[in-house]
Amino acid sequence: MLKCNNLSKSFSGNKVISNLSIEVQQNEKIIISGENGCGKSTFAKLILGVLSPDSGSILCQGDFGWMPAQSESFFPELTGQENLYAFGSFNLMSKADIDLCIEDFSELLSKEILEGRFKTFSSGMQQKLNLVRALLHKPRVLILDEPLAHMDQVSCQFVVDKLSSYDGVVIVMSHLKDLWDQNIFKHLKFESINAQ
Amino acid sequence: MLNSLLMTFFVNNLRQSFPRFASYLSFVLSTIFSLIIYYYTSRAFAKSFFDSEVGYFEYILVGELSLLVVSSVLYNSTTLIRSWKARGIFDYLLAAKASNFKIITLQLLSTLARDVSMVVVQLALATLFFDLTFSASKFLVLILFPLLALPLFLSFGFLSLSLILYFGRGGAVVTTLTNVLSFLSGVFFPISVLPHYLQRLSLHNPFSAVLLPIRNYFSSQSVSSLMGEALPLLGWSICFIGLGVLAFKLALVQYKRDNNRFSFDY
Repeated sequence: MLKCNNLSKSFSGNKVISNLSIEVQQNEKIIISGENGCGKSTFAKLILGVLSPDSGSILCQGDFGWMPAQSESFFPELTGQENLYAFGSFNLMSKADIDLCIEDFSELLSKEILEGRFKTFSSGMQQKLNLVRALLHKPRVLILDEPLAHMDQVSCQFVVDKLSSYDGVVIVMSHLKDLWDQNIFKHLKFESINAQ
Repeated sequence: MLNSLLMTFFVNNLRQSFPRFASYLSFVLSTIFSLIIYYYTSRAFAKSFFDSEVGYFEYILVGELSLLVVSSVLYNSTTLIRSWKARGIFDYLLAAKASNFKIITLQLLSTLARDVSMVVVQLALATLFFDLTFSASKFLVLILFPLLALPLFLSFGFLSLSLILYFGRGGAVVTTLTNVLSFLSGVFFPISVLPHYLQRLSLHNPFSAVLLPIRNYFSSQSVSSLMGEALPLLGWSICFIGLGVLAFKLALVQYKRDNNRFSFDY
C-alpha cells in the first residue's frame, strides 16, 4: 500500500532523514513516536509530496488524508462548516458528500464548531476540525500529526475508536502511544526506522 | 464545485477586509474623503489641464479605478502566498487532489471580484455626491476592459508568486515594480508631461496598455479603436500565461526541495 525506500532529506546541510525505509500493508495502523525535531513531520510531508526527497523513492496506492500538526491551517474568517466546504473542494468533493461526512462526525463537530468563525476557536476545537478535514474524503492513507493534542478525554476516546476501525492505512505521529490500542496500532520509534 | 469555492473565497475576503459593520462605514467615509481631495484638486487645476474633453476629476478617477482593477491580482498574489504559507494552507493545498494552479487562480479571482465591487461603490459615490456624469457605456468600458487584460495580470500574479516561492522572499521587489509601472502609466497625469525616454518606456508598460485605451475611449467614444487596442492585449496575455505557468512549476519544484527557508520579513 505504501512503500518508502532509502528516503533521505536534509535542510541546509543538516540531515534530518537518512536512508529511511518502511513498508505499510493495506489497513495497517502505525504509531510513530520520537523526540521533537527528529523528523517525523518532515517524513509525513515527504510521503504527502509537500516536500521532495533528496534521494529515495515513495510508492503509494491510493489517496492521502493529512492532519498537519499546525492546526490553525484554516481560513480564519470562515465558519467550521464553510472551512470544510472549502477544503473538501480542495479534494474535489461535492457539497452533498461533505454534508454526509459532517453528519458522520457529529459527535466531534459541535454547533459552535460548525457555525462559529474559525478565528474564535479554542485549540481543542481547531484540532477537531483539523481531524475531520483529514477524514473528509475517506482517503486510503491517513497521516495524522499529533491528532490527540488539545483534545478532551471523551473526544480522544472517540478518535482512537474511529481510527482503530478505519478502513485504510493509518499512520499516526504521536507522543501519547499509551492511548492507542497496542493490538491494533503497531508502535515504531522513529529512530529505529531512520538510519541517521 | 469551483463556483461554490469561488463564492466561499469571496465571502472570506469580504469578511477579512470588512470584519464588522463599522469597516464598511469606514470604507465609504475614506472613499468620500479621497473623492473630496480629487474633486477640489481638479477644480483648482482645471484651467491648466489641457484636455478639454475630459474633466480632470474624471481623468484621475478613471485612472485610479482602472489601475485598482489591474493591479488587484498582482498585489494580491504576494499577499496570498504570504498568508497561506504562514497559516499552513499552502502546504495543505500541495497535498490535496485539486490542481493548486486552479485553486490559487480562484482565490485571486475572488479578491478581484471584491476589488471590482469596491470600484463600483466608488463610482456610485462619485456620481451621487460629486456630479460625475458617467454614461452606462463608459461604466461598462471601465469595468470590462481591464477584465480583458485579466489573463495578462493573472500571469504577472503567478510570476510574482513564483518569485516569492522560489527565493523565499521578494514581496518588496513586486511592490516596487508595481509602483514604477503605476507611475509610468500616467494615472494622475498625462504621460506627455514625462521626459521623452520615460514616455517611450511608458508605451511598453502593461498598465498603460489598459489605461490609455480606456482614456482614449472616454475622449473619443470610439468602440472600434477600443477593440483594436484589445487585440494586442490578448496576444500578450497568451504569451505570458505560458510563462506564468512555467515559472510557477519551477518555483514549486524549488519550494518542495527546501520550503524551510521561506521568509516573512518583507
